[in-house]
Amino acid sequence: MKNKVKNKISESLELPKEIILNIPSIKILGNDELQIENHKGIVEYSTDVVRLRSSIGIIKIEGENFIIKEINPELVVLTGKIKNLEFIRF
Amino acid sequence: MGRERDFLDGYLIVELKSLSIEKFINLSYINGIKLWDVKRKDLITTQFRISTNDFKKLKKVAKITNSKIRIIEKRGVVFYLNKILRRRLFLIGIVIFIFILYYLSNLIWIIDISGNKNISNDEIVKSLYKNGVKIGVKKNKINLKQIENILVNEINQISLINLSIDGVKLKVEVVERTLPPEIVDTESPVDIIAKKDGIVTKIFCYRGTPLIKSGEYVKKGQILITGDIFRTNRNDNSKELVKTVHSFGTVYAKVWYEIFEEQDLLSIKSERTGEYVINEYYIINGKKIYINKNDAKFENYDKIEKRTKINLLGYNLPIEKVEEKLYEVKVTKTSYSIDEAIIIATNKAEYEINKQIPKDATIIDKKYDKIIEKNKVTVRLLVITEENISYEQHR
Repeated sequence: MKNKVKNKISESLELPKEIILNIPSIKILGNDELQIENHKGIVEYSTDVVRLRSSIGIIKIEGENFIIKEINPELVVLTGKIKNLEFIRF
Repeated sequence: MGRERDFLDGYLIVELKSLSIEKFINLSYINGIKLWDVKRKDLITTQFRISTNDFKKLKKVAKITNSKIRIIEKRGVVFYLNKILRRRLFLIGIVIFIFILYYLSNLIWIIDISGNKNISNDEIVKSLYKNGVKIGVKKNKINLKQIENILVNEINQISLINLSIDGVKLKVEVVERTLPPEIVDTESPVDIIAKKDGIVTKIFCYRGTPLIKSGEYVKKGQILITGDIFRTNRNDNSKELVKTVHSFGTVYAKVWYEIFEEQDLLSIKSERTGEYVINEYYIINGKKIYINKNDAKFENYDKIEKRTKINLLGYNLPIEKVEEKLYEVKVTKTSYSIDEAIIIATNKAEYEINKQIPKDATIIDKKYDKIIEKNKVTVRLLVITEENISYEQHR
């Protein structure tokens, strides 16, 4: 219920949803760079698989040669060859 | 993302050995440590970069997560500067190098003279040298305007001179004065006489009366063309002096040069080798008292004696000081075959005769005669040339 109201507000006021709903925003550049805002920490990190915690569940990224280009409380930037992106609900 | 700033402040490449890499990363970003370029190497090792200031905080995180961290590399301007400062001698070298370069570029290295046709470069360089301008002089010590004025006064043929400095080059631009042509004094009476003995071959007489004919033998000093002009009386063939002029003309003649050169078949050459021995002694009443005695071990030597009488308060004492110098001499004997001796003698003769023959003479004939004796060879070289033998003589 709460989310629905927020959703409507953001739609009507044209505010960015990721801020109001506190959901992750994922931006993929080609198949070699991925930026995730509003993450909640790394669950698993290896060269082939990266799993990130977020408000909507775990985001699992599969690929090769992953490097965490940058990490801070707001943003994670990953580079590497991305093959697969999966959302795992709680 | 501020990479330039990281580079300026300096950053570290750190290797992490931990079983819970994810925990380590999460904890560090929560604590405000900026990590980048995180790369997993294998199960327990990870490499990442971190700014220098955050390393202390990282140590705490490592303690909590039970992991080991190690700095692999330090990068950034700060570290480079440290490195350079540590190599102080190198830095001093750079400074000295720059200083030397700067100093040397303040000197003049090249003097470039242009625009001169009749004045030789040497002359200009010499007078520049007199006024303190030479290669290796400091640029700012030269007063260009002053030197220009001095040079114009010093060298007569220069009407305008422009000095300019271009880098390490001193440019000298010269404008020459065209001097009036020399006036030939055609009025004074002049005879043309022979410079050398010879047989006259050609006579070119422009003014005056020639006294010789082609094929005639003339001696040195003989008048060839006289400045007197005569008029012949038709009646009695007597000659009458009209006037005397400045005679002009050239006379060519065959001239002989002869030279003898000898060459011994066995030549003995003695040369000093440079080694010598000094003996010093006094002669008192005919007795020798040595001060410095060295036995000459040389096989052949030149002996040079220097005697000085000893003077005491203006009186000559009966004591003489003698200084002997014995120079070692190396004697080389070389024997030549007759053919070799002839070649050597001929070469010598040619060399000697070329000194005597003037450059404008044309050689008509060359004759070699060989006289072979028991132990020497004599070469006679005869050269016949045709040359200008005329010479102007003022009366």
